[in-house]
Amino acid sequence: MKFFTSNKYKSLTQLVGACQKRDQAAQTVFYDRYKNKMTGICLRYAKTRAEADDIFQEAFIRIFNHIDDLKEPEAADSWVKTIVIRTAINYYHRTTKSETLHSSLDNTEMQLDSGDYEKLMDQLNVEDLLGLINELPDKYRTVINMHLIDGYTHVEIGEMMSLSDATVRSQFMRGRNMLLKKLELKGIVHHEI
Amino acid sequence: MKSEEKLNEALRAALKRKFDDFEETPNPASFNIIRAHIKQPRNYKFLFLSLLLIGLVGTGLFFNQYLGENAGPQVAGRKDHISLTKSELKARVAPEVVTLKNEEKTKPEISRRDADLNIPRQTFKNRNKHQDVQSKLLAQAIESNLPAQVLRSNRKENLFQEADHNLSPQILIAENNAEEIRQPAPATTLAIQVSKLESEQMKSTAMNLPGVAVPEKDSPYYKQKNPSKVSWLVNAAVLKSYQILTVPKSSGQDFQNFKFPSVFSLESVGYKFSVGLEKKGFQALLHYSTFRLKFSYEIAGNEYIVQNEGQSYTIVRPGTVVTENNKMDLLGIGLSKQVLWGNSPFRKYYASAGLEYSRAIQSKSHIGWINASIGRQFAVNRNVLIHVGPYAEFSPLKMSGANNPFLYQPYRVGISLGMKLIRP
Repeated sequence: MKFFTSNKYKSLTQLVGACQKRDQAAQTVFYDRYKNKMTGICLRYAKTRAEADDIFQEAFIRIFNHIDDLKEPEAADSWVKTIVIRTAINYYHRTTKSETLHSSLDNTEMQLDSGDYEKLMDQLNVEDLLGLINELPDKYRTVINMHLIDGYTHVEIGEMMSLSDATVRSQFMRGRNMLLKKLELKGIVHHEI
Repeated sequence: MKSEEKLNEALRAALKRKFDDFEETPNPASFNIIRAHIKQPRNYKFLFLSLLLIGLVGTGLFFNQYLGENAGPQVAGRKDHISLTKSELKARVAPEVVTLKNEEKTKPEISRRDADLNIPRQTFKNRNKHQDVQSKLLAQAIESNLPAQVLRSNRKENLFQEADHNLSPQILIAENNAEEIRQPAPATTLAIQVSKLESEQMKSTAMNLPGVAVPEKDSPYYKQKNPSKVSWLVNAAVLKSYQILTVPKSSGQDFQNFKFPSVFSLESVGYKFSVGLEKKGFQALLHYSTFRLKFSYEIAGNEYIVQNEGQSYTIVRPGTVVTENNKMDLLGIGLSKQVLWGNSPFRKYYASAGLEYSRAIQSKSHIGWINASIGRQFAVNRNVLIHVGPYAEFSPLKMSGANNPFLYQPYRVGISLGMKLIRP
């Protein structure tokens, strides 16, 4: 006998259908399915752990309250991820009034070869790399995450962030350069590999 | 430009490798916070079941109140009275015949008796066609000198029938006699001993006025004519929920600082409503209850803080506070057995024990209960008993939670108040 527990759902469609009927057991299963992965995404987009928790909670509240809008249950994975990313964008759009961008790092001339950075990143553990990404200004961090990790194009990013194509490209370049500089500052350079 | 693209691709590949499978455990309190903010389920099932319960209770009360009374001792007594009066009247009326000699005597008699009839005027308002026909017949009969008693009884019978079918027995008898008389003989030769009939009628009417109950002299408790009949039960209870919480060792996390509501706190108070049937002490009940479990605990972190408290030092391990607040609406069916004892005709002691299976309305969780109660039962009247007393129930099995590794064994204690409706 189980208490406060749920039934097994045979497919994602069935699970989404139950969530759309506000079945609490299904919501628990749905939450368990995505909670770790989405927490990882929130940590990438957030500056701190506390902000990541806020984004995560806000995103799941939106997910459960708007799950009726999900017309293709088999696409739930990408739908959930999109909601989480959009929530992160909105969060910083709402909370970030004006951001001081580190212009001193923006224009730093990059000397390293692309292969060097690939190796550099492989040397770092995830936590260190996450720390470097989290240190980036909000807009740069968002664009870097969306373009380099989540695979959005500049056009898609522009639409989601209400920015022009050119602005997105510019912010991406600055953010990328800042990230590379931070890697160098971290003390890991190509000749140490 | 090409080198830029190359650099971007290299970065993308490196970052994707790092973060594609990156996962992290969320804050344990997050799910409760999320749950508190999401829309409540559309609970049509709950509404339907509530209406069903109300309907069942209402129907039961209706049948018990009205049908039970109509089939009760008053009706039986009236039938006895009718048969007695009928035989008496037949015996008395048959040999004594009075011939009506002229119209002058009959007409004043009719008007006087009509005035004497104490019939509420409201009953005249809703006459149907049949009644109108009867009125016409009455007028014709007066004109053709029908005997007074025959006419009046005929009219009176219809009026009472229209009101509430509580027919005055002597009217019926008079009607029957009148029919007998009317059929074989012409109106002018019919004769009834009016004075005798009149005295019988007035005496009997006074004893059988509708709505006047015969005073109850018997003990209400013991005079159930058929105690093996099915009785209706309605119960309400206020219950406080408790739990035996088991924290398994192999959970992989350290839990500390568990806090539960105090013994008399209202935070975990729930209600239980039951309706059902009883026969020979066996009760089949449909239960609806609200069940609340609330407690908080901390998931211990990896830091240890040494606090200086005067001359001593205390090590504190900070943790993340998690509050569990589980509220469920349960719908269940149960079977129990009640026994009674005591010598008082009005009050008895009772004890009952039973089993219940409940299912949550919002989710598909289920729970089994063993329940017991003891208390006193009071007779309000022959048909209604009230019982009140402490009530307790507990789940014999441990059940696991969904968001934590704990095992629960809930139990509930409270006061139960109920009513038993017995069909006479």
